[in-house]
Amino acid sequence: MNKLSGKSLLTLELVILLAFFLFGAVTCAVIFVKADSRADEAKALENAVVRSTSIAETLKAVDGDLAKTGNRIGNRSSYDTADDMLLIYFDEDMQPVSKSRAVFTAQVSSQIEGKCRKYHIEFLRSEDKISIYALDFKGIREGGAGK
Amino acid sequence: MRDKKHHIDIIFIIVLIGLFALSSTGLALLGVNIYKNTGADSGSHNQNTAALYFAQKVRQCEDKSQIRTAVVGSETPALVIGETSGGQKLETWFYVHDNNLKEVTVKKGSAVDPQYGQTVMEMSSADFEIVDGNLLQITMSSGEDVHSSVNLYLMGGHGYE
Repeated sequence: MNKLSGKSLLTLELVILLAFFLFGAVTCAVIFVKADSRADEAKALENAVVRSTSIAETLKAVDGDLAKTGNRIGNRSSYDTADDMLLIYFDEDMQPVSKSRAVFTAQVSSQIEGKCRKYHIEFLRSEDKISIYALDFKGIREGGAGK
Repeated sequence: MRDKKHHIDIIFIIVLIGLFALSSTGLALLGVNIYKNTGADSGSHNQNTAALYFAQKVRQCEDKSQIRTAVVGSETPALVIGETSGGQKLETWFYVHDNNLKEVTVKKGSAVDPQYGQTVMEMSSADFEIVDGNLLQITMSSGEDVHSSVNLYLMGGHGYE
């Protein structure tokens, strides 16, 4: 009888230990997956910041010409221009790609404010249109960058 | 009957231990894969750092007409930023040598030996091009076949090659 109790107790202890371990393992797994997701977000944000800088500098160099900007950043198949807006398509590594393979889209728009042209650059995830980064800046319209 | 119960007890304990081992292995593999994925992004991170480094150097230059592209050694592309300091005309050369981005400041007109530059960071290659006289395009790559580029406006223009 005592021997039977001893074995049952051992089994019970093992089950409880396993339950604690599984709880810890599941918690760790959830944390790992969240960390991976955060790392991807951080990478996308870092790439978007550098790409936005490139787009902004190019806009200043070409005096706000959206088509020229699209050509300087990528190639003819990687951007669209419509309604005074430039859309440039990027893959997961922020390399210019065609629209069908786009993971991110950069929307570039501009409006005139007095003697300046105000630009707005926004990076969106193509899948759900969630904005990951936006940059606003102004360029002089006359006598320099910006028309 | 007792033997049967005895066997079942042992089997149950073995199954529990097996479950424990399986969970541990699965968790370790998950952690390794995620760590590998995070580490694999270091090439892209290096290039972004380099892009912002070049942007800072170009913006620090007050006279953008002093920015030009050149070749160091026999065929290594280089970016040259000129400045005047204490009445002396100096040039800072940026180029990639031995898989490292290097920087060296010399008197204007002096020859540059690619070995003697100060190492800035790891990089496989960097190419510099000035487009339409006012847009500097820098294309970089790291050892993991990751390529990136950055465009920088040379305000006041007239950068030259």
